[in-house]
Amino acid sequence: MALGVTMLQKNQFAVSREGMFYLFVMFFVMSGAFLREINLLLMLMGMMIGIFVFNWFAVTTTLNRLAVQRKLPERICVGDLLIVELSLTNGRSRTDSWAVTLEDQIRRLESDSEESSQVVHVMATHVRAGETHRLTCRGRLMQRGHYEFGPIRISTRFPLGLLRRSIQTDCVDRLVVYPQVGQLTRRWNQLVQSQRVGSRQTRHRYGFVEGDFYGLRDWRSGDSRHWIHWRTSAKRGSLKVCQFEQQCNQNLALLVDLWTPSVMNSTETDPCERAISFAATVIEDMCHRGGSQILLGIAGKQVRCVWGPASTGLMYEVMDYLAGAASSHVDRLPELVSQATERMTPGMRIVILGTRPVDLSDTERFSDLWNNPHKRNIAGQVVSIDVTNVEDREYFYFE
Amino acid sequence: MASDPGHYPCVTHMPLERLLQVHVAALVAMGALLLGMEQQSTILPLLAMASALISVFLTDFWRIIRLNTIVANIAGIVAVLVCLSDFFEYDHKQQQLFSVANLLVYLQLVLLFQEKNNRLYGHLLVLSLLQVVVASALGLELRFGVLLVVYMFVALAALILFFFHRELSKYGRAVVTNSDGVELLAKPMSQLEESGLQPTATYADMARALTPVGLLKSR
Repeated sequence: MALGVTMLQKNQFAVSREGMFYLFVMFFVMSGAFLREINLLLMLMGMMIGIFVFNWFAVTTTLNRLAVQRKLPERICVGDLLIVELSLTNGRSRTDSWAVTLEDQIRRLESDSEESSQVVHVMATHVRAGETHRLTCRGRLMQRGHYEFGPIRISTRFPLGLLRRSIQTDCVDRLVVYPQVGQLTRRWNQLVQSQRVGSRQTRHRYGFVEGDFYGLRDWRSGDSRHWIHWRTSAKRGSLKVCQFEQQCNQNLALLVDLWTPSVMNSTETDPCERAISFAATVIEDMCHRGGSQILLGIAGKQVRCVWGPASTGLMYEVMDYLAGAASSHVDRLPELVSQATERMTPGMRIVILGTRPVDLSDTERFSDLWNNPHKRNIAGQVVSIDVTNVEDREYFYFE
Repeated sequence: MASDPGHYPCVTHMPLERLLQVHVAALVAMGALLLGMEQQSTILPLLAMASALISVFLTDFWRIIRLNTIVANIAGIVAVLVCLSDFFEYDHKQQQLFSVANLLVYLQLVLLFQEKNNRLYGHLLVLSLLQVVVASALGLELRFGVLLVVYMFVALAALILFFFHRELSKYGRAVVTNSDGVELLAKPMSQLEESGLQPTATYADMARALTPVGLLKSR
């Protein structure tokens, strides 16, 4: 969980719209009082000045020695409920703070337009001296990406709203919103499961690490008591324990082509988002299962490859990259295939996930692949899935 | 002690907007009284005080009488026409000034019987202040000065309540009331909701933190 602590800076004073009108009336009264020498108008003018000075004093003292802290998760998925907690601490020992407004900015770093930034306002009605007041805001971020929260502006117009004092803090935090994760179908699992190809065979081993049920054997010293199958043991008269299958999972090379046409119909859902979600779901599934090598390549604005053994660390690294992956009008799939084939290991299942049909037999487009005899063999092992085609629903869907 | 809600039970349990409505009505009555003192008139102050009292119950509390915009505009135009006729009828500048001041009172009477929002509260406060300015320009008596001081404290309280009402309305999470009188969040957390964050505290949640004694006396 990210914790942002603040140093107060950038003090600002401003007269509000109500304050401007108040000053105008006060000036009108003052001029009438001095020009006509009317005592009651002078008295009224004095009262109005006193009220204004009282407001100035209140806004000055209300924000003194206030500290802001933000708590938010480091990462969430698209559509997850996000709860941001802002804590406002009054460091003074005597005076309370009233009507303190916190203005937090949320900005998506991948977006260039200012429309992507949002400002959230929360107000602490009463913060007692020496105490901390907690405020929360909730919502959902429906776009993946890297978000920056902050800086926070603390302001008050207490008690009359004629003046505003604000202080900008340097409390900045980052949040990564991962792509939406869906569900993989059985057909996908069959695609990436280890297959009997020629002399290669699936090796099913039994081991101490629990997996799918494999069979029964006699109890041995060191076996866990949880594995004892009591019914069979009662029948046979001796202790029998379950054996579990430890399967070697298929290594996978997943290449994602985030090509997008230069002009897209506004009613079409972005196929790149679907491709990214598909890839994220695959990576999450494989990293949770473990026991395999993964190579992920993405051809978007940039070409990048990430590879390693399936693990939580790899999953976070891949998800971080997928969160910020951007599509491109430029065809970078040949470059991706060229780079990825350098790092592929023998026996790796290769899947190309794209936003358009892929024809690997195009020798001109994939010249690097066909000109290299070592890489040429790979071409026949590739499975291509087009997310704009209905067929991809056979492998992946959103719940 | 400062935060003891039982110290002023009748005040601390009264909703914030109710307090504001009472204070604004009191200001309207006091403003008309100050003006009436200088005009040597009793009709207009009594009319204003009676209207303020009636509007608090019939319009603000029980919501029985609420002028719609068209009726209020027509009433305002009629008030302007009546005051204009008075203005041109009198030659003396003081009498003309009184005509203008009476217009302020008539407009306040129309606004009192409309459904209150932040804009109307602001108009009522401004009109009351202008009445006091006009009355101060003409007043000479000691009791006027004493009443002016009382008016100042009531105005201060009204401004503070108005400030909190505006801020809580602005920064509280939007709540709507359905036909059964049940309050519901205006933007529930649905899966298909558009992207964005909202505060979780509503107007009522934040108003509970306000206690009049706490405002006056801190630890």
